Amino acid sequence: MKCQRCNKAAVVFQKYSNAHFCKPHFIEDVERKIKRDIRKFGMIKKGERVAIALSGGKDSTVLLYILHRIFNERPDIELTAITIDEGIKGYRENTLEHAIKLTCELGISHTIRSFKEGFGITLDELVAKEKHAACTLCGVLRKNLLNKVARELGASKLAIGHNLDDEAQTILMNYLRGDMDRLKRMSPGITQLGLVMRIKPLRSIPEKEVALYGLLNDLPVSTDECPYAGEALRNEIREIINNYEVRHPGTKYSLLGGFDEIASIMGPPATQIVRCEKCGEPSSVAICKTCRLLGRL
Amino acid sequence: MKIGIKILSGGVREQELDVKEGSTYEEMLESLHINPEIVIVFRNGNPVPLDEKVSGDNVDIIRVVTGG
Repeated sequence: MKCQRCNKAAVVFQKYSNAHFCKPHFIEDVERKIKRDIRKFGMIKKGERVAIALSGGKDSTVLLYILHRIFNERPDIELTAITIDEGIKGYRENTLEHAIKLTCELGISHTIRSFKEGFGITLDELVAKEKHAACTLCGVLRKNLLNKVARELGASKLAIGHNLDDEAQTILMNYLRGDMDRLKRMSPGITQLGLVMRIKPLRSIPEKEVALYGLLNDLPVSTDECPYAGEALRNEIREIINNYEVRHPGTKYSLLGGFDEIASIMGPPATQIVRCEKCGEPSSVAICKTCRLLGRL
Repeated sequence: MKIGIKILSGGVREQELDVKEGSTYEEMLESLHINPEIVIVFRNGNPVPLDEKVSGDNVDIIRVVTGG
């Protein structure tokens, strides 16, 4: 198969757009979509300091690499990376190493903060004594600490590596749960008290293409799996969407595109953000979820 | 046609596979019950478009989408 732009050997077939691309034209296509979304949603503007949530997994690694490629020459935009070390033995050590190596190579400042430093306990220790699912604990605490560190660093945006698959799954999950408030909060450009605005530059890139982009640029694309099993509903939804995508190419883009249209006519989220009575961090109720999970009642 | 494939998904599994002449990599994945959305197929170390016809070279299937 030949690249539709230059006739060289193709490395990928995008079934959803019926396009074949060679390596340089595939890379160009991925970067074009990201630049388009950054512009379209005003994700990064002049004079901003952008913190990038860098776990060292493939998505955040590709995110950091691409944002550096796009903004490296711009003296008015500053990039800084944050890694949260949850304390997952036998897993996080490897991705942490990738994260340190990449930020050193690209010359990007890097802040590493652990659950132990932030909350006095590692995820492994917390899982052993709490009845909550590991992914609930990890998700809530990581988001809390990322936001806190980004704010301390004076960042105006927090970039996270959610890709098209993640977004399509979250949208469908929120529909199925009937959680319209959470759906509203997913809209790009939502500002909330005490929360550094989150941006998702990879939202239009299928997960598989994020991995391919990483492999083609010799980035460490770790296929290690987190020892904790993942959210049960998300795993189920992932399989449903992937099976549907094979039979009906373009489904993931349809889910995202449909959501964007709905989001543009939905009002702002009903939830009022307040400061947590215990820790002062932003919360939708009097005592934030982090404090509740940590038993600070 | 018999081809040697290597599946990298957590561990490494090598196996021989009987593929119908003229079938594509996507059809090969289907016969292995692997969803094409979660893997990248390499032929002699280079990624291949899944609608390409299978040739008798070294085929690696790398799982790039994992749970969690």
